[in-house]
Amino acid sequence: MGNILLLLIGLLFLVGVLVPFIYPVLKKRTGVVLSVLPLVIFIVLLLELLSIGSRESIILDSTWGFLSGMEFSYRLDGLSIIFGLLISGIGFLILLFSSYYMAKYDRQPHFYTYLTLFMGAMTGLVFADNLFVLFVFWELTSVASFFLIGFDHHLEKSRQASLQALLITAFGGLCLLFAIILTGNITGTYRISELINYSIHLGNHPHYYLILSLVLLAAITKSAQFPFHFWLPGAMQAPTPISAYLHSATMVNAGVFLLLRLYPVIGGTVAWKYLLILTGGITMFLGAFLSMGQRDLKRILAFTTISALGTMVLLIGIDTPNSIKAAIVFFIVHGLYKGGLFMIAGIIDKSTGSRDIYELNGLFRGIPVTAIAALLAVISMAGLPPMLGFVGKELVYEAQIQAPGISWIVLPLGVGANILMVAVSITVFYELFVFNKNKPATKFKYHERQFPVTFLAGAVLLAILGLGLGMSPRFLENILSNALYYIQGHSMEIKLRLWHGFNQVLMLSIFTIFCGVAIFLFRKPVNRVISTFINWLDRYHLPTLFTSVINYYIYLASKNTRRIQHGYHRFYLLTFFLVTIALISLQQFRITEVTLPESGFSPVKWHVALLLFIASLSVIFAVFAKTRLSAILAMGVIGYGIGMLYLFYGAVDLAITQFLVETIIMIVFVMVIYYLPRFAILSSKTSRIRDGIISIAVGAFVTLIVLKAQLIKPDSRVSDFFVENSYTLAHGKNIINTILIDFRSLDTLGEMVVITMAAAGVFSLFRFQIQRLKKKEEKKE
Amino acid sequence: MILLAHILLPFTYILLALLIKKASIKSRLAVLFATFNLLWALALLPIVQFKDIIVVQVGGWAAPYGISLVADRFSVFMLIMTAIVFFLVTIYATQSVDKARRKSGHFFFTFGILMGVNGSFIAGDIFNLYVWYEVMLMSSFILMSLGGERAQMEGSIKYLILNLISALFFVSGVGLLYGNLGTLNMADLSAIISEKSHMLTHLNPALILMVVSFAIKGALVPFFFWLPASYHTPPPAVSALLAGLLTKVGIYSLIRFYTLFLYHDAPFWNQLILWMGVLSMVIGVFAASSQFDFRKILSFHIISQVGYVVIGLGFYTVSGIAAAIFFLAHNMLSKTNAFLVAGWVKRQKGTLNLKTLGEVYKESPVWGVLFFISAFSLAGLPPLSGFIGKYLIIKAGIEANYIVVALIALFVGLFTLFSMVKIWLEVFWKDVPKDRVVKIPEKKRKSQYMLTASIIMAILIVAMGLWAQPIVTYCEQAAVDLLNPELYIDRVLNFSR
Repeated sequence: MGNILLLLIGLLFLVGVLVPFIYPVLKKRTGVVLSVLPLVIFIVLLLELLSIGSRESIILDSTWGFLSGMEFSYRLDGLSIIFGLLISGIGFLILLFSSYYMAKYDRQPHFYTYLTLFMGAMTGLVFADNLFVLFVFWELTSVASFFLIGFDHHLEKSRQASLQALLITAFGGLCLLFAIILTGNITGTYRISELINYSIHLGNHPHYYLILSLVLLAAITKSAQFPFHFWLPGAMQAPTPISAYLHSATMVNAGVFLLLRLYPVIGGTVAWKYLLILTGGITMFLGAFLSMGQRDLKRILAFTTISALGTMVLLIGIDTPNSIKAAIVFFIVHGLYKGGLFMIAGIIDKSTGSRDIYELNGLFRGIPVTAIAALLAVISMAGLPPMLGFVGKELVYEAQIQAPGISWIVLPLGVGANILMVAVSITVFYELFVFNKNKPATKFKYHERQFPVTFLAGAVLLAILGLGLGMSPRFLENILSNALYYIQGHSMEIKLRLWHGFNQVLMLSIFTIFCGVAIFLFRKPVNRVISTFINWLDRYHLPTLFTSVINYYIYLASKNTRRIQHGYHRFYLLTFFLVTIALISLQQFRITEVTLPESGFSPVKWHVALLLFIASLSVIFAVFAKTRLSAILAMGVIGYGIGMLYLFYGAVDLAITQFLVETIIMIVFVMVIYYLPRFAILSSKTSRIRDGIISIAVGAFVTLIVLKAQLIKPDSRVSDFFVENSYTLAHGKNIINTILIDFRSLDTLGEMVVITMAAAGVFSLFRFQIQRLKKKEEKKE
Repeated sequence: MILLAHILLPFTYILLALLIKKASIKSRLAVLFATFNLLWALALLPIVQFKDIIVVQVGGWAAPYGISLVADRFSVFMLIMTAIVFFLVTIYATQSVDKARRKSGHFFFTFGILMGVNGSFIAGDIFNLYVWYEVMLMSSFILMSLGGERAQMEGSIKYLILNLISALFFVSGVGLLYGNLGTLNMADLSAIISEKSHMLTHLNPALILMVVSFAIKGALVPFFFWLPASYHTPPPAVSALLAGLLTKVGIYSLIRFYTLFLYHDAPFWNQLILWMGVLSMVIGVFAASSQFDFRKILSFHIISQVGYVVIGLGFYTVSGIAAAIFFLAHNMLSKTNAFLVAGWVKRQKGTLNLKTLGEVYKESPVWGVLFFISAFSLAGLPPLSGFIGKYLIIKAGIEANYIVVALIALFVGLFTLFSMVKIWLEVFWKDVPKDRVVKIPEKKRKSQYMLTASIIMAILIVAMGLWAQPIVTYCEQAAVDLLNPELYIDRVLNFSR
């Protein structure tokens, strides 16, 4: 049964890519038709959930992967099935919801492509049995969410938000990649099942802290934990179905999933606990607190998501069997109510055209069914009976009370965050649905009965599910104990009840509700306080800060780039020569013994000395020449001098070539000299001195190198071969000729091509120029 | 003979192009010859798998005396990648390059480049390598300046002069080495150097000159200036070709030299090359962030990505060199394709300035996807080829215990992503700014060949990511061969038919 899952995930990707071709056929039915796919996945997983034992995991092997050792094999156990069920189930509802919500948008095929690919990536992520594969899907969710958040990309805001989300989650992704490679390098496998089965824990490895911090960075960036939480409210720019999906079951929950999945390998150490408790605690409270001060329904929900994620991270950090259990239950609770609430926000937006809770009023009249669904969802968010939210919150309290050694700080934070959640829940519901005389009545663009069933189904079904699971949470017991077995490694009996009896936890719940109601009653002064705080906080507005950091980086980059890539030719050349000299001297320092050649230098003959003297004089003359012509003439003298040198040492043919080349260069120079701009000295004295020093240094170095080259006795094997065989084998009396056209004929061929290229190039350039001149003349006429 | 074809095929085209006048026939012939070249390169693959190293002694003169052409797995791989890039860019150019340029020999000069590049990959002789460098330099210089637009001239002059310095260094190095050791054959040189390892430090100046010359060619820090100064000026099809091929030849030669000569003095070279790579990676990506020209961003990124290859070499392990080879190949495809998309944008919009561009995604989702594939491949996102490349490099770094270098390589990826997304946001997503009126060509010109070329390239990029294992296995074999210079020496010097 499970094997079909491999196929289904592949199918999600395939269908996603093919949507642009399917869409013209299906048009508006695309969303509904696509929704079949996640529904099938959901059913398959449900069957697995019912049949899987409490200590059983199913491995689906595959032989295909990018690289060997990275096969796309999947793993079904409690954790992945729970996540998978929410992803596919809510995904199914979102697709239904989108088919109406997105009906008037442009570029719908793109939307469905991104959404389907995102769904596929997310499903793949939770079922991957290979860390490497998990990472691949992890990155794909980042990329897909980039496209989803930036869907309305003509808006500056959307683009900014998508860029932020991508950079932050991609940063986390890179951290994860590194951690995974390190882990793979240490353990020799990327397979999660092998890591779990051999109970490999990296706690004692020297690289443990590096791996831990990288994994935590990956998780907290993805799960929008403080201080990386700010990309999530920005991600509100996405169309509502996307927000609903990102928040409830996918994307941000991936970080939590990662922590749970890697718990057996790196979890449970002191550093792990305290780091998670710290970030989770801060995020939990901050998110709840900031949600109070917002007006936009979607923003309010976004901050409550941050708080909920903080709660999950905190629970994982507390690290008792109860707290892990609480984290997973809380994930289910949150997914159900958050998905519903976002879809409700979408319905309200469609029917009224606004999402501002202080503008809207008495919505019950227009959208009664939605209102009931909203009531159930809000009760679950507040953690009241009889919803699953109550069960979840009770577990959270229990875990926080039992938190070893730190409950005194964790518990007040948790209770405080919960009180705020209760207050927010009541406020939201009250402002939206209850009729208030003091506010203007809301005008409906659409009433509920004008909407198709598919549009409302999601919110209603999720609310009912929350209620149903709240009434009979036992349904989850088996799968939870399976999940816990593969996280913490030992099995335990799990009992989930709506009613726990009168105990400490219940007292805390009652206290929470009291305080929450109190805050709701005094919401005006409370809101004022929070608003001032938020205004103060806005000075350190993180998204803005992020943008300005990027802008500063670009400013720095352009400033320094102008310094590096300045466009001055002479400095480029200067760099080349100086670095080369530096490299050569660097390696010269490594030689300890410097010996002169044993034979010493042979005595210099007087005519050679004279020649060198004349050549040196002309060098100096060329440098200080006042006109171009004299400089060129001096250069010519040097060239002829070198030719003479060849002659003195017996290389007649080289000398002839040198003379010829020099003569031609001189003639060409004299021909073009007329066309060159006026000769002027533009450089300052200091720069000329600097250039002089560098030139002398370069010359000195070349001399040194050449002298040093004398230290090794040359091996004349090759030249002897040429001398001996040019007549007998190559049938030529002139050795140079035989070398050029026989022994090394390929070089000659290449050089000929160079000359052909040059000639053709000159010809083409001239012709282009002439054509352009002709065109100009034609235009004038 | 089998290797000579890689030189003679382009040479034949060059001869034919001299005789033919019509631009359309020149183009068709160019595509035909590019196809031949590709088929021939692919045909070498089974041969090299069978023989490990293919050796041809040109003119029948035995090894250290004549010129040897040598192709091991690395060379063949580079020949194939070159042939693919060249083939696709040629198809693209038949439509992208204007008729006047095609008539005055655009393909004539591209085949000059092909001849030079092919020659460099199979040269077994340092002077012969120098000759191919010259062929490449001359043809690319003329190709860059062909058309004689003002910006073009400025860029190409810088290109020419800085590259002539490279040639000067190279030929001085060759001269010194020949003066010292009396041979030019690379296998022979390697053998002599390993015998005379006590004299090695005396050889280093010559080797430094050559390595600097390769570093200039490969656009490594601090020798990269010519690249960003010139790559954004010529017609896009030309920049695409140059970006795909030229720097890679420099890096190829560096790898070849390292594994044949430099490894004898590893303590000196290893650190030098590793940190040159790290600096290139960082500075390239840093400078790219500041640019607002489509092609300039891509050009600066070449520097950064060349850095990745070089640190792979710097690790000097099988996995490091295999990663470097893979990365080199990936970069040839992804970078070229990014330039191809830029070429289409330029043709459509008349500009490549990010500030005035916009809405391209709306106009043509297909080209959007093509850019997205190449850019995100450059940024190293899965499942594209760049991801595998980056993964292999980082993994090799960790295995070689260079954790810090690996971490730098990792986070350079983030900044690459930033630049690529910047192009994406500005060119493809943003609305065209209202105050910027862009002249749009009156009639929409056809671009089906350009599209075909780019789509094939994109498919290759994806395929290289999805089915990476066979390629990686091949690269590993190539790396093993490279790390075993005795095999190379033996096959070249003890050559028998």
